[in-house]
Amino acid sequence: MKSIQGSPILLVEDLSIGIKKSDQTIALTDGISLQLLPGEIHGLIGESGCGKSITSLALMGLLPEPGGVLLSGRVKLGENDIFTLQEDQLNQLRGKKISMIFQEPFAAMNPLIRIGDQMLEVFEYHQTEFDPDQKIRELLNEVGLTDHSRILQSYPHELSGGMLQRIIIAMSLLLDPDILIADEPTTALDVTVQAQIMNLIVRLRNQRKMSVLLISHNISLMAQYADRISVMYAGQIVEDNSVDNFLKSPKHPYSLGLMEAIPSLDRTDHKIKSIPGQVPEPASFGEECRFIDRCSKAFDRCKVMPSSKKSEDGSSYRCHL
Amino acid sequence: MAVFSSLTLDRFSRFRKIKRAWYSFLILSFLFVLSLFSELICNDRPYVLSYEGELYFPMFQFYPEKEFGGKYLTEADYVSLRNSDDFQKEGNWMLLPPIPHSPLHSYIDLEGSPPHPPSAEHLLGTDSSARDVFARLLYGFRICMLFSLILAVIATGFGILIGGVQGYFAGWLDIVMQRMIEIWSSLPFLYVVILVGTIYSRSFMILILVLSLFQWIGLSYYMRGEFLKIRNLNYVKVARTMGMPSMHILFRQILPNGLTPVITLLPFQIIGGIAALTALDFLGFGLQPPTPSWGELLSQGLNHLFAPWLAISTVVCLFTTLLLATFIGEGVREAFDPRASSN
Amino acid sequence: MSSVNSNKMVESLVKVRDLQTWFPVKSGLLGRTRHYIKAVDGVSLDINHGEIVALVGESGCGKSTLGNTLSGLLPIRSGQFWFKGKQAVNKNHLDHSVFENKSQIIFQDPYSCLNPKHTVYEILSFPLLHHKICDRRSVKDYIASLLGKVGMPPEYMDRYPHAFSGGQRQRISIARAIGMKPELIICDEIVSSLDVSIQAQIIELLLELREQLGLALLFIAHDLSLVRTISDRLYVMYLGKIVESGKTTDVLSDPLHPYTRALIQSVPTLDRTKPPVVLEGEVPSFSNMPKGCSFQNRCPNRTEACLLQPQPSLQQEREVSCFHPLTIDSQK
Repeated sequence: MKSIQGSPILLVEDLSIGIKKSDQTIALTDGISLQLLPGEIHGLIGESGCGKSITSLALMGLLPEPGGVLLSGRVKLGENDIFTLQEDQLNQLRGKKISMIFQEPFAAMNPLIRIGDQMLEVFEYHQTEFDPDQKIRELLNEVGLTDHSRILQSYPHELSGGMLQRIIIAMSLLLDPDILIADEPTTALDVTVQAQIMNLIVRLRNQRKMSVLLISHNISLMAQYADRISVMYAGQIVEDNSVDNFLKSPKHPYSLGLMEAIPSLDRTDHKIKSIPGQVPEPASFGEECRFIDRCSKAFDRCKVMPSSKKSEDGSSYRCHL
Repeated sequence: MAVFSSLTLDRFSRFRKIKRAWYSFLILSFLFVLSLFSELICNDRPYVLSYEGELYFPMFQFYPEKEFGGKYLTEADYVSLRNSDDFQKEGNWMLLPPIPHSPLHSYIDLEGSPPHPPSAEHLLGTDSSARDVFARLLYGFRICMLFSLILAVIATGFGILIGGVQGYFAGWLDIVMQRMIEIWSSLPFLYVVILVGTIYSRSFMILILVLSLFQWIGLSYYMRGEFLKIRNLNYVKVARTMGMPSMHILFRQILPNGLTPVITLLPFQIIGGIAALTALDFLGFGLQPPTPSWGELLSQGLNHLFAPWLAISTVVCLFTTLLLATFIGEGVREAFDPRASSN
Repeated sequence: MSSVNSNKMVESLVKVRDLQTWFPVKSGLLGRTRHYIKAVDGVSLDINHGEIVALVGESGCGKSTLGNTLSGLLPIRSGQFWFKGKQAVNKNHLDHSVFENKSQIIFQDPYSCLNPKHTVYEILSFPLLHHKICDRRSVKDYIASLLGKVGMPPEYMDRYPHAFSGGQRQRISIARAIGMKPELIICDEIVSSLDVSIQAQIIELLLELREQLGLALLFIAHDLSLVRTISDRLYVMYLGKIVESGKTTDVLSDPLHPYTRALIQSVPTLDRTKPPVVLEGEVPSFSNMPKGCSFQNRCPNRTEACLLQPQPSLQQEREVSCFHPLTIDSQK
């Protein structure tokens, strides 16, 4: 596995996003820091409610509706500080520098408009030097779809989930972005189709030297396809490491818990062990470590929120141990 | 029962937060309850009457004319009594309600010809039969509200039953019933009302009955949709696999979840009822005279445009009532909006 | 031909033979049935007492249809179904009285399985009282014990479903199912919408309940890794048919059917030295099924023989429907 070098193409520093309700502001994410290097596939793993989707949308300058606020921190895309930009400047960046694909292919497309027309829409708002039709066909080839005319004439419901997700990937790459955010891109797909799509994403990364932020709840997916992994729990990054090191020895108790809880076909003798309890609600976040109620190794220092400890190998984790 | 789950309480508190709707609800309810006691507030009979040393309670008891120096055994005319010199001799007094007029009494002795303009005696004047307008508006309001409430309840009952059966059983039964409803709803209800009213008497209950034959149709469409939707939900499927009987599934599983259209539609049903009754009365096909009614007053207003207090006062009352009810309806709809539920 | 089960002496709890559930597709002016979606097309399986049997396949293979058919929600076109030795198919419906509530089903979506207007007490008590499992006096204690069995305190019975998370709701659904003292529970993807750490909790709970109550489970899932942790035996479904079956550990370590092997190889594991192998091609739609073996358009071993319909054959106590099954040796 070649090592990824270079200065980060996307830098998230201490990002905190909250929701403003009538009488109070609740912080949903707290001090998120991560960096995406050029050509890297960076995995962001977490279960529901950990804030990964909110974070991924924030990278594009999108805050939750209604009432989303930026509490602290910043997102730097190259030279641009995302949250200082105006809406039209952001719109220029979206699609061109940074692009996103989501979980449900059928929900991402307008069911009443043909595929070809939807793909052309991308060019309505962005000026480019190349010919739109040409570009569309090139990208359909890149994602492995050769029957151009049939596909461009079809409506979304006439195609399968796997094909549609490929088309969505093609759409997201029409403007040659440097970064692709893939938010649970294969969760709604069958495992055989998942393998196809993930293979495609890796191939595209290799060909285009693109960076990918891969968001998922599936550790095995990270193990197979990501270079680095950040683990999110209850609105915080609790561990950040290279995938190789992570798989050998996860540092944070939650990461350890996850590794114990998931079944994997290669671990034939492993008996899965669950993590007791549930994820705490944002409204109940306090001063103590957010994993304290579920952690088998909790001790009295854990009543104070641990900060992120950096190690020499470039990894970091948030624990007193 | 489970109807007042915390979800329902949450919706209720959301309704309360919509000030316009909540205050409208309070005002309208207060006025309605007040109107239920119309006889106590607005009556030409005194609460208490002292005549020649004895106490009488004409509001609650019948006294013949003879009792107070009259000749006959018919009920005493307290209006003429209070104006008569004989009564005003010392020692005699009567305690009258705040508005000492009855909606049915014609003040033919007043100066000029009816309708009489507003005066100190009659705050909103009199109508073309010299009856006090305020009294007629108040009693008319009560009749209006009672009519539309009862109508709404009956129509809702039918709507739930018929729409529910359609939605639950679906298939053939639904199609047949749907066609029948379409035919039924194309009947011009006004003619039916007129016909029935002419053949039978035009009483309160008959009018309600006839109108309720048509009022349920709108709600049944909603209920049909709700039942069709809910019967496919997993908890209904589970109830079926667990062998629960159809009656249980209909009434305990589906119905409590399908009541949202009932509640959101209720204020508008009431508005519809008020409008229907007023329209019928206006045309003369509604309640029998001399029943006090807004529609009848409106029609008088039209015929006596030079007596604007008739039309204006009625229109203002009608407008206010409908406006309050509309605000309530809006508020209910917003409170029940599933998209607005946070978390 | 009947499946081999590990205990030939004892009669199976469930015996299904050649079950067919077809959905007619009507079109044209007169609404005539043009063709059928053969969601379940000749499925045979056995479930023994106290056994956990998994049914795996990808979306559209018919596994949920099979689960719904076995619990009586869908009509049967043809086939036989024995429950505890008694024939349960009556014309084209399942005769519920044969089950006597000993077969229960739990569905995937925890958010629509509990009536939002009922408290947990009501949800659990309705069937108990109706089927006279308890009377009014004993039902509350019984419900408290059920909640205890699924790891919830008795106070929860006064709450409404919206107060609970997905995992907790599934526990309540499980409590509802075991309250009827069933011998079989059909679990239709019950953990698929839950978080990974919660999935593990539910799996542990099911295994515990199997120990305590001697339950048999038909565990319908698409996640092979999960299936290995819980099931004794495994059936693999593809486009309405069972393509392979056998002991779970055997099937997963040495698959005989090319589809099973492709499925196993597609699953990402924690072992970075073994990346998933991509199976190309798409699942054919039900209206466009190939003649013969339904897997042929994606199968690397396809030959002309595959234009005929393969039948299940026995290979060393395992069953596979393929003209060119992989042998145990060909794996290494």
